[in-house]
Amino acid sequence: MLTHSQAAKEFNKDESRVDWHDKAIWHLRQNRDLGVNKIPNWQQLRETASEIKLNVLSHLDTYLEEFEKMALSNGVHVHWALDGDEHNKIVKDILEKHSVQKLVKSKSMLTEECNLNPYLEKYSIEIVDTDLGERIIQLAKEKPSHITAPAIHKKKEEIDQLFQKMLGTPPSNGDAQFLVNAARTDLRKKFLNADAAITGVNFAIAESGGFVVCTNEGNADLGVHLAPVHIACMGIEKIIPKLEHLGVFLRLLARSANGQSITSYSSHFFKPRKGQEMHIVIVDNGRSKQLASEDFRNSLKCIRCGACMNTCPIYRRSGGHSYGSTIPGPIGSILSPNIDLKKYSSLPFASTLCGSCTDVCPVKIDIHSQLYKWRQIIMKEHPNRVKQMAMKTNQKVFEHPRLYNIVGIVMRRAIKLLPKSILYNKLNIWGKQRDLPNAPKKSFKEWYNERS
Amino acid sequence: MKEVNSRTKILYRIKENKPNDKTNIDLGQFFIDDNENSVINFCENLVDNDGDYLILDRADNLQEVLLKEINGRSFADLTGNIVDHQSWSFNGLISPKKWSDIKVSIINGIIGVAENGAVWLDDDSMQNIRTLPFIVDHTIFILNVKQIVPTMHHAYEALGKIKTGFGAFIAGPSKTGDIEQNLIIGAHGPMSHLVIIVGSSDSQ
Amino acid sequence: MKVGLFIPCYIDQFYPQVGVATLELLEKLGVNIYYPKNQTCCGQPMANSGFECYSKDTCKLFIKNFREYDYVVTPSGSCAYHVRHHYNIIEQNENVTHLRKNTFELCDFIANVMETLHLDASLHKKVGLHQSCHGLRGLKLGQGSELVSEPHSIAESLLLKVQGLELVSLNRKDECCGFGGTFAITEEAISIKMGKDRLTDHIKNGVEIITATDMSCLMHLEGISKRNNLPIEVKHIAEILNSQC
Ligand code: SF4
Repeated sequence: MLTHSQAAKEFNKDESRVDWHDKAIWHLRQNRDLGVNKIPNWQQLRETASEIKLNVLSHLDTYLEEFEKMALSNGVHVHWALDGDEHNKIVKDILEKHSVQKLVKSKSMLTEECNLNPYLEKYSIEIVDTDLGERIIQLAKEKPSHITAPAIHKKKEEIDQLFQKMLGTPPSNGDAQFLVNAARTDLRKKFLNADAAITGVNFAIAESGGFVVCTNEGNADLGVHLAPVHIACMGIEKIIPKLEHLGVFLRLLARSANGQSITSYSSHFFKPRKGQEMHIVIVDNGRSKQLASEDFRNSLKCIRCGACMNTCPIYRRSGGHSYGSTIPGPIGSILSPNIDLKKYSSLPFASTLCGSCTDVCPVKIDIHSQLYKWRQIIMKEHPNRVKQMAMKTNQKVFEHPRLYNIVGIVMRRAIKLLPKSILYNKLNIWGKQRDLPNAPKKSFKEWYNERS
Repeated sequence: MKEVNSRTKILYRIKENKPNDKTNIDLGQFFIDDNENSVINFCENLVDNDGDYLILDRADNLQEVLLKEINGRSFADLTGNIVDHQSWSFNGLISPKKWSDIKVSIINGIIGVAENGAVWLDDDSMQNIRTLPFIVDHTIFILNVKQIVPTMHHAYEALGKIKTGFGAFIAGPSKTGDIEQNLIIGAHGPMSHLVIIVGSSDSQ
Repeated sequence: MKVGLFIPCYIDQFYPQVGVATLELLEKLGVNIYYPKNQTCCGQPMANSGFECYSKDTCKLFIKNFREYDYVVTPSGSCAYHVRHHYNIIEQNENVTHLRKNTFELCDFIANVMETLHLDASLHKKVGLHQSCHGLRGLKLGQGSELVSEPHSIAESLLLKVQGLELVSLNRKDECCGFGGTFAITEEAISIKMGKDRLTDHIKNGVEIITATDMSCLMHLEGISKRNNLPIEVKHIAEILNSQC
């Protein structure tokens, strides 16, 4: 796998595309600002959300048990999966029981995380992603690059080409309205013929055994209300204690994502409709492990709004795929090392620690502090030799004032005296696209000594 | 028995690993009443969410208004406000696949939320036809002005324990920004969303 | 009140004029300021790269150098932030807790400890303020655009006291410049792009001089600007607050 910086370098070869990508995503951040500024006690709302989530983590086992009990009494089937493989198998078994051949699925980062699509395709089950963005990347055989806007990396002309090839549409010059209509017509057939529908879960309510799914397109609802089987997949951390807490989270979620006051559809499922079967799959997949770590457990508060991605100056200029993980961006960079420290070891370094992510996060996850903490762990377990050498040298120099003074003098002389060709050699990455500062004759310390 | 095993394992791990926080959660601070502007706010925020509204002081001429909106298209009225024309009938065993032919739905809203223009509906107001407001091209909701509350907190307070099997806040038409952030209305279902607010706001 | 001056390593070596301006400015304001000569660095470069462990002795040296002062002032939000927030890795004795509380970024010190109302400075230029992240979001020297609260910025309000200075508003008022310490090297492509984009925002809005509370951001911006012959200069905020013309 490419490291983040390698992938980012690739992405930056086309600067105008970087500008386009940055602008598109910054637009979400700007809308978010407009949306949140309409709520005067926004900070208290974030604080409360964060407290509720901490309460959830502190009672997660009992809430899950309560949730299960209530869901069962509502006539819903409940399943538990330790990891992605088990989740996939549970889903497949349900589908097989109902001889499902055609399946519609609304957006769920969890099923992405578990790699459900390729798994089901092996069993010749047709699986159709119905969120437009997800549908686009499904047709393009790509991965989502953003958690709320999965196809944000694609230009409309590219989507036009894709639809021509995959759906047989006539060329439209990237006319968004035309392309949406084409997808609508194609997907309507899929909805009407589906044998089962899968959705994610935004919030699951312990006290009632119900769960909430939020969309703007209404694709989750169209899928589940038509199909005879509804399977909802959720991570263990999606629980909230009470219905009333939704008031807090539904106010935060869409506003943080793109400034909307609420998504068009916030659907609350408690019982299957007459003749329908409803299943909930509760998935751990490393979350209970993350729970053990005081430094990192707060990342489980995430409500997947995507705000940290939209605000991240690195994400906007490197694209979601550069992270190589299911969840990209700042939150992905603190969740992924828990899954595979070695594979994702470059992610916590894909940040300037500017802290903007922490301040936009609606549940107040200390994202940039966690990035800093992951760095310490990664350098202990998988030290990067070059960096380590450099830092050991720093250590020596900075610990010893005399040595520091001498190194300073030598360095400044070198910058002054050496020809540019040597100064800006290949090893000087700073100087590749940046000038070095002018080397002054005297350091501040030398000046100060002479002055007094 | 594998399911039982995983369940036990997961719950055990959580018990071992969970923090121990005892912070009290107080939502009281968010019940800031702004009833005065609720109707105006509702309308403004609804429009922000690409919905539309009509305010009728009295319900007398509701049928007339509805028929004008329906404009001759096939419709399903779950509110009983249209008596002179034939609504779609769900009594016959018509396959849901046929429901794509219904163009307009008329459903009673139970609660309206001023801060976002959302309307709450449940299995009762949908007469268990959950698909309806998601599959038609145009949705019309009838909302009594007295049912508009300021915020989501008030809305959940008003709902209390939800007894039906399904309910939803619907705040606007089906829409997507998935193609280069261009806002397109009518991603899957409704291309328009109209809330008719009945009753004058002075009577609040 | 005895105040110690901490001059970060890269300012000491590359931008002594910033140290000079800081010292002169504080003296002008009547502060008893001392410069302990055994100082080197606050330890941040190692820590941010994931080598906190190598920075402990550097932190201890900092404490040793400054333990006798009531306050430490430094022309770097980043270093002040590091001392305040990341000196939890060494033993928390009285000196450490004292210095973690009383190490101030220059503007913060002038505005909130000295409560200075008047500055005798003038500069007839169009100036753009780069909000260095560690100062803004770390030390809360202003209100970041992410938060919903009264807008304020300590650096901005000090700049507004400089005669003749025109403070230019930007399209993105507090986006990171892309320096980020070793990030500038390990993520070179993005670092450069971020820097370029910041420069473009300032230039497009007519800025002649970019200023900041952190010289590290400015060193990075200046490096890119010079390489591309861009029509813009950088000056640390200490230099501006100390300027007379
Ligand atoms: S970490 Fe916070 S900002 Fe990022 S997606 Fe999760 S909830 Fe949203």
